[in-house]
Amino acid sequence: MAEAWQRLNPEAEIHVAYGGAEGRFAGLSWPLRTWVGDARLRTRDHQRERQSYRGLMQAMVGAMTGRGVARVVMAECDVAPLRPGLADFLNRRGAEEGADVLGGRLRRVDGTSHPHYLAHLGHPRFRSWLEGTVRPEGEVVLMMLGCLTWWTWEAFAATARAAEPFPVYLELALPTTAHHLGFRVRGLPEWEEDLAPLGERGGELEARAAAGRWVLHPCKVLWRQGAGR
Amino acid sequence: MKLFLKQWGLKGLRAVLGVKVVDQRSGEVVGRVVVLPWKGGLRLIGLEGVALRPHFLPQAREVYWAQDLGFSTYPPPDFPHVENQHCSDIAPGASGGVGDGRGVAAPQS
Repeated sequence: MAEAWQRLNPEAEIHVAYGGAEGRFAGLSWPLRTWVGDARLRTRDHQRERQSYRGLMQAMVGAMTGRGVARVVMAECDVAPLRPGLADFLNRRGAEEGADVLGGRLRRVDGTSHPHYLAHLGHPRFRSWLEGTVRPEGEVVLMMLGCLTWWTWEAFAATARAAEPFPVYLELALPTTAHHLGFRVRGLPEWEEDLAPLGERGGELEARAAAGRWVLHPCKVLWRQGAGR
Repeated sequence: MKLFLKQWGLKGLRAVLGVKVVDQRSGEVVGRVVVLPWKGGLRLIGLEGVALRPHFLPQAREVYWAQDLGFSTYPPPDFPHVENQHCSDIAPGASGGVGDGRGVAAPQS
């Protein structure tokens, strides 16, 4: 998996953040790797258990500090890159948008019917989560998929270390925290069909690659099959 | 099996009892929902994760006997960058070290 990402993005530094068993981590051969021990990463019912990437991001900030990293692309292991240069493409899109954060299926959900928002709204500390905002509209809550996100270093590091007064599901936590810290969060509408939240899309790989698409998600068995490009 | 029954049960319920919901902002039909009175409010069954805001719709002619409740999505988020002095200790360009080796122009805020 890491070799495929490196081959397709030769200018990027590929770093594996591993959340599995520590014993298996020791056996990984990729040189740049970090073990993430945060229990909130290893959830089963991700939404209801409020899976979080805070521990992962904090570990990666520690690992990348001092390495001159300016942009971060965070990709889950079931994201399949289909073309060379994905990291450069995202860097250009970020520059075009003047964005600090890019993510798929970004939308605003405060005051709406979305279950992620409603489930968090009922927490007694929900309001305190947004109290430290630098924005005039303090009630904004954003949601985006966590499978593939692009960040400036400043946005990534600041979001990683931001306080979280109660457990927040990562799809809300990532964009909302970044937004209220003052960072410009933008979506990737051209990838609405490429980044699906559920399912298994490995069977579509060839067709999507032939169509010139950049990524496909989710492809949960791709790397296990050893079919990396 | 449980999931299958739930999914098909919801589909059937929506098909028989559901009403069309139109996003008032875009004009698009976003689905069908079943509306039930529930604990002094309304329970909407079948929205399936669509993020809709309820709001009362403007009236062309002022009437007292009825009001229309509609639903809208927000437009895609497009908020500007705002400076935050609490992040001033984080290097704005790179994570420190041997310079910005990624060779990419910084975004324009």
